[in-house]
Amino acid sequence: MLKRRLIPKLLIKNFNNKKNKKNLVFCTSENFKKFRIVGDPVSQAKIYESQKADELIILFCDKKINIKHLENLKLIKKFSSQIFMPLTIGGGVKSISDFEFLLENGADKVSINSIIFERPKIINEAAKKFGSQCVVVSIDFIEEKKKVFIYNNKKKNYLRVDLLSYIRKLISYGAGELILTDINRDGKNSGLNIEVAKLISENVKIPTIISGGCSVAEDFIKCFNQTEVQGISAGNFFSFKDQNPIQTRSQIRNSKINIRI
Amino acid sequence: MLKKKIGIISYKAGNIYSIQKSFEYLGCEVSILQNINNLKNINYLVLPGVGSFGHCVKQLSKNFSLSIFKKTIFKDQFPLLCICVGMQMLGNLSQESPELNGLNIFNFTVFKMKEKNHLKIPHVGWNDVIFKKNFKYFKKNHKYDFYFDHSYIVKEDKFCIGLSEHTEKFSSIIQNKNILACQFHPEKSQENGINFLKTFLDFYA
Repeated sequence: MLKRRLIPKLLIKNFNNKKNKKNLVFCTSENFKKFRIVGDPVSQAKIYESQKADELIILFCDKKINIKHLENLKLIKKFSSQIFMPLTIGGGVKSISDFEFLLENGADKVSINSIIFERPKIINEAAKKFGSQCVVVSIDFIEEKKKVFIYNNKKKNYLRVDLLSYIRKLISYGAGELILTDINRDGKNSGLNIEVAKLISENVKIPTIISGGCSVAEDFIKCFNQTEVQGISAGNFFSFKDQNPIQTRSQIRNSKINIRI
Repeated sequence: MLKKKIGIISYKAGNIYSIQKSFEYLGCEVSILQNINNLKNINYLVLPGVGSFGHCVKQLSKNFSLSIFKKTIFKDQFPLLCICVGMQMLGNLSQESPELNGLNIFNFTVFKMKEKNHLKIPHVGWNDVIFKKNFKYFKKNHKYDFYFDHSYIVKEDKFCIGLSEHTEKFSSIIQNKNILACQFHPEKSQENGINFLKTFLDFYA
């Protein structure tokens, strides 16, 4: 039987003030606004790998990012030469050639976000060329007064559309996996958004990953038990808590949820 | 001991970098092949494949002579490892791109996974492979997990040595003589994946 997944998320930012020099570090975020440096991304990924994480999501989150920048390439190659686990990479992906670049250098799946608002048909083009299985659509949302809005991080505005029908449209273009992130809960330890996780995962045919707000192992258990999400992704949870993926994993297993040993 | 020499067939379809690094991790020397006219310095061939069946078949036949490829496999008996769509291409046809022929090395058709209940497609993540025979590090009738990412499958047939199940049962490993093929990604399957690659190298040593 297919297993549910625990997916640490690594946000990558440039924290060097010197001109023309990049220092890419792993950081965590709060509401995707306040960032905090954690350390070297590849060492952190190695720790996750030894702790049996199922997969990694790597997101380059600087503004105006050129994903093909040489320093990004160096880092991506370092990941894929040292980490033997599935990598979803994203951040600033705008074209089929960006897809090609990432897939050639070690990404197994490519995550796209703001481009879907401008040019949703890119999903279709990428799926045709590389297969749906590597086209991951990442959607940020916020919930206010029981209403859910899609958040466009690039334009800093909200799309007042129905989340489920919007997602269904993207799936019809060929999206192969969804990552849903509740921006309000990001870095807030407020627990996962079970309602949205349930609504989407039960009504779409492709795998859903939910993220934003994990605070204790019980959050994972509750979400796996009450929804059909395939995976749960977390950044802060795995980097600042004493709980590592192994401990979380054994607690989840004890609640009879089917995950890898 | 001489280093084992791996040739990865490169035809712009997928993540060959991770495959290269996995074999290097195992102490092999890896070459990325743009053609297979001269395989003097190669002991093993790897046919990767990520993407759609149609794209892979087109790219492969554009860059490689399929008759030389077949001669290498059948006559020269090069050990060949095929991964994911690389495995699917060994068959005759795929529902994904019905207008194109596969390599016709095995006699199977590639089907789209059936929909069933609440199970999601693509089949992404870690799933069990049950080995139908002892295979070096893997014991007959035991389960091992590997990482999958696909929507199309090869059904169970007589060459199937590893079986998995999502919405239906399918061949996750097939093997005949010098050809070994897997639907999962050994290069992404951590310890089990590394052991699978080692098995490929030892099996045909």
